[in-house]
Amino acid sequence: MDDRDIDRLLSGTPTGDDAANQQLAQVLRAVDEAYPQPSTEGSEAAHLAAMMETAHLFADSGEPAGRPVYEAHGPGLRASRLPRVWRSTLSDIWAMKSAKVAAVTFAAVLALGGTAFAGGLPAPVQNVVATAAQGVGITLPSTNTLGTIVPGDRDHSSDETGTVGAGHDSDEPSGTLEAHHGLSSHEASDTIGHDNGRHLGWTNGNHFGWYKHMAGHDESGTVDPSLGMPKVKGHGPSLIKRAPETTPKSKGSHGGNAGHSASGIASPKHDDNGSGKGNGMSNGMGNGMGNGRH
Amino acid sequence: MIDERDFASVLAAARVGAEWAWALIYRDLSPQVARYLRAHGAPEPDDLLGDVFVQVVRGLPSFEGGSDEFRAWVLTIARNQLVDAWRHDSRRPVDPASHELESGSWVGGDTEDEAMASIGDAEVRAVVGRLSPDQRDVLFLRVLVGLPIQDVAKVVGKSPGAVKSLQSRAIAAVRRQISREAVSFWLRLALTLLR
Repeated sequence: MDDRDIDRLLSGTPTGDDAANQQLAQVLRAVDEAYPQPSTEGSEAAHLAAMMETAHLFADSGEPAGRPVYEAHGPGLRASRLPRVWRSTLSDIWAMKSAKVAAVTFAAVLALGGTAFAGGLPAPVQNVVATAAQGVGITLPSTNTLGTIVPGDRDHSSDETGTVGAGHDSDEPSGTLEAHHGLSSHEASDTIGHDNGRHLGWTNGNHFGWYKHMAGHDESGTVDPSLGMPKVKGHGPSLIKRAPETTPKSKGSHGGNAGHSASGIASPKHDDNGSGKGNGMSNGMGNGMGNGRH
Repeated sequence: MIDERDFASVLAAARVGAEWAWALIYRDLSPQVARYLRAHGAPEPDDLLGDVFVQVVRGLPSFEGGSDEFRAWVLTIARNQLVDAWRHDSRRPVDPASHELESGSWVGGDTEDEAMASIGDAEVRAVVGRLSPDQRDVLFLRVLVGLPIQDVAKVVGKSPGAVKSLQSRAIAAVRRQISREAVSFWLRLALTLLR
């Protein structure tokens, strides 16, 4: 009996005149009749509703049963590249309020820390952050009450500022640096900012006198560009970098220059009046002391 | 039955969640699936039928193929659901009376036609019931559902050659039973008619 004969038998058609085959075909036809095809109309509505609900739930859970028509053919796509376990785990974690708070806090700390490390926070905030960070062994740039940060000189800027600020009793411009002047300002701070109020008169006077002498400083407090020195506004304490260590020796040697600039201000008002030794000495001392009281 | 040309569009619509497409698919395939489940004596066949089509909805994104493959795939799901139901049912105590009633072995009525139908179906079910489960499964899929050998092979998870062999053995077993019980069969039929 070949496949075609079997197919005919299974459909209830006898394959020959043989009585046994006819009886077999009759029994197989009876099998077809013994199990009648039931009607599913009664349960159709309920089953269809369950199917559509499943389709929607399935789509909501990230495994879309439905997708755009142009992608209707072919295998289904996952809604996420993450494995399903990870997706559910991450969504569970994110559902917790504490996780959200922690994430926001972490992001804020990260942003604040980055800005603080770059020294970009407002001065008071920067100081607070720097102080707090110092407590845990992290050095961040900060400003003190005397000046502003000098970018590029971060390592020294915590206590060495480049400009004269508070405590400088003067109506004159405080001599803020214009930009990255390329010269280290911390030495200037040592002599002016840091020692302001105590030795300012002496040191600044001497330095500034020397500075003016060496750099061809005019009375406006600006540097002669021809000398290759960067320009500063007001007085130029930051340019005192190359002040010789023997500044005490030069005290008074430049007379009025030292004396008038002892206040730390390259005042355009004063005249280059001090060519005499004694005069320079007295002016320098007088102004220096006066400034020191401020 | 859904035409092969229409089937692609129906399936595409079902993939995008069109209810009309699912209704078409359900009306096309549910009678065959229900028949297959009932023939195997599935417990709670209506509920099982609903479970089968819910599984079809879930599995559709991964399906590829034409209408014949789709029918075979749906019946594969039905067969798996049936096996699960049997496993679940075997862990529960069964009420024999209700089970007998569900399987349709008891038919009420006293008219001649009903008696003929009762005896005929009972004898046929008895013949089929003596087949091995694999032979019976192949016979149902071939006779009741009308699947070709290749699709039956997919549903039962065997090679086409193995399915052919099972089919041949099933027919031979039926033939043997007919010849063995022919006398008693026709005698009982005659007695019933004479009552």
